[in-house]
Amino acid sequence: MLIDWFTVGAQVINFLILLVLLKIFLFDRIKQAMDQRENNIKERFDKAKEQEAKAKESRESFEKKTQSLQDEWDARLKEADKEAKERRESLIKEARDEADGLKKKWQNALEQEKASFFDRFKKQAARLIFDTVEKTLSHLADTRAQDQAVKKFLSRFEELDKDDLPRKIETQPRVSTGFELSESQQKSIQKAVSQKIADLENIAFDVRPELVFGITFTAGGKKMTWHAHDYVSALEKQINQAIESKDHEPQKQ
Amino acid sequence: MNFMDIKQISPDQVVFFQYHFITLNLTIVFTWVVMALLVIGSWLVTRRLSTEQKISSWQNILEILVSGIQDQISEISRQKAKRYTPFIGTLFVFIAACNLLTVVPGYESPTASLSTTAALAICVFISVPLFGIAKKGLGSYLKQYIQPTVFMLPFNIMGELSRTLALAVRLFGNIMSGSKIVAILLAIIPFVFPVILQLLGLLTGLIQAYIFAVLAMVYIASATQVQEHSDTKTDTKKDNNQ
Repeated sequence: MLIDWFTVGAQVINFLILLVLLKIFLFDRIKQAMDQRENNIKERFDKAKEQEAKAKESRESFEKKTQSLQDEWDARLKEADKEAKERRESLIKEARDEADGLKKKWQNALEQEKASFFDRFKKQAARLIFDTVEKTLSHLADTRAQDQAVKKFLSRFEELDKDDLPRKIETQPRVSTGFELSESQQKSIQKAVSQKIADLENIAFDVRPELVFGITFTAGGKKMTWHAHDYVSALEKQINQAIESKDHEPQKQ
Repeated sequence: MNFMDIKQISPDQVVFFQYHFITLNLTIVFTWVVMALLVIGSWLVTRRLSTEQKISSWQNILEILVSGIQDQISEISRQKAKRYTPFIGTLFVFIAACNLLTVVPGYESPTASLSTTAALAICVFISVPLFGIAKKGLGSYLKQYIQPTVFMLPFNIMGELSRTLALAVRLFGNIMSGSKIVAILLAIIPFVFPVILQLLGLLTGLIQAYIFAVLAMVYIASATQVQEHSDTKTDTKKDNNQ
């Protein structure tokens, strides 16, 4: 007979024993180890995920801080730029003002120098003209320029209206000249003035070199002058115009 | 060293000790050998299991084996594998080990004995109602035998018995015939050809182990799922009546 029932029973028991033993030593242990490892991996994965989240958070925080610092940097840079611009403009303005002031000062100094120069020029020119005229007249007409000047002054004085003359004379009348008057010239002036103005006491004469070739009469707040400055002033004017026209011409190279 | 001659069909016939009906035959001895190998091997591998990422190659092999069995169970039963893994796994591992050890000279597979395959089939035959009752209860399990009508009861019982018989005979026939063919060919053509057939026998043995385990799982799954179908039908009927 192919089947032995005792063997069948024994094999059933053997199988059940094997089932229990393999359950204990194989399946349960392997399953437990697999579950444990799966849990470990899951824990690691969770931990990694958590760390990733933390890292992400840190990164975002860092990016925010960086952005904040960048914004602050930009704001400060902008402010510094603005301040630098303002400072630059202020310095430029100061420099410009200073330059303008210096230019103005220089122009004033130039004007003063020019005025001084022309003043000296006038005096010297007048003196030269007077000397030249004096020499020319003495050589050609056998007369002195001073005499002609006094004569001219007297003729003009005689032509004066009553309104031009002083009415009340409280201080001593004065005749100033740029050259020394001779006694006869002083007398003739005294005489001419006395004829025009009554109750006139003695006239004071003095020499003022700056008048050069001029004669000035001062009495009772009135003043009458004749001098060669008008001619010299015309000359000065012409020289001035010549200088200015030369200054304004474009420079040719 | 050979314990059997060509005339002996089953290792049951090689008896070492007998006292009344108690016999110690080659089937039981080699069963113990296989059991000892499996248990000692399992103990050796699983005594120091690693729960870290790096594991030993033996642990890796066992994990592949166990997870493969679990996957198959889940795929067939559409249920959680944990409950059925020890039973189905032991069936597969025992049969596979019995069949694969045929490469050892002098070894006779216990599955070449109808007593062993019958014992395993009886275990399946008993486990099917046990799993069914454990899962759905006694009443629900027994109700499946009278489904769809009460007249199907004898046919269902016959079906249970015949499939158990088929389970036992299929495994016995395949393994016994394989070993006999190799033995006969070894006598006729002693070179090369028996080696090829031996290798083929290993493949057949492994396939038979897989078939036995899968069929056992199918029977268990049908025992737990048939009840669900009948419950669904009953519920549908109730809904229609309402």
